[in-house]
Amino acid sequence: MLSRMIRSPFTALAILALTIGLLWMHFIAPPSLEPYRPWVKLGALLLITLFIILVLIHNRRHPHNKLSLLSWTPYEFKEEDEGMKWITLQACRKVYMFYYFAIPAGALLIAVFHSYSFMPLLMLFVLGGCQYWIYWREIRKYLQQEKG
Amino acid sequence: MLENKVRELRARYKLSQSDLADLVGITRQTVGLIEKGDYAPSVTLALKLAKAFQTSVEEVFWLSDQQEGGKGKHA
Repeated sequence: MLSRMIRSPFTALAILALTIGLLWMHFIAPPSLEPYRPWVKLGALLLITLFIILVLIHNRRHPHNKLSLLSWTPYEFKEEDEGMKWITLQACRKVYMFYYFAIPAGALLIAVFHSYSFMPLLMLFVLGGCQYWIYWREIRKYLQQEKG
Repeated sequence: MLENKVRELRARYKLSQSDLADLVGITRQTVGLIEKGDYAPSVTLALKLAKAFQTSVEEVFWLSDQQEGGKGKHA
């Protein structure tokens, strides 16, 4: 359960949302929101601390299957054997195909709506959100088929 | 397309997907994918599965008639 939670694409999406939210609050948010800045930063710090604690608990419970806090491999990859690697490959292929079209489209939208300062951040969030959603949907498709 | 009778052989040996996965050293999910025909295993894994069932690879895996000699789905 703990492993599923840490390795879920939704956790990755939450981290992306947190990063985008912090950047928005710091650089773009209107001055009227200034008093809330410390609270947002404190909330982000608490969430990051909670994530690190969850990873440490997981590593203590599964000493032979540890998750590294400083790794280039995304947590949602579950490449335990060749079958799981193949599923990851299929999901990554779909994500690549998405970016193939979404990056030019996103660049165009940013250019068209350049007067809105939040547009690049919003676009990053939308692209990232779609990436995690496509990845999750593809993994789920194969694992649900396998159960059936 | 690569056909197989992993499920049938597993039933004959009264093994669950997890039992077979442990025996061969793969995940239960991969056993499920192979049984469904979604994933064509590597030669190494095919040999390991055949060995677990004490038979030859050809007895476990074969090409369906329409694809024989051609390129398989995941080959």
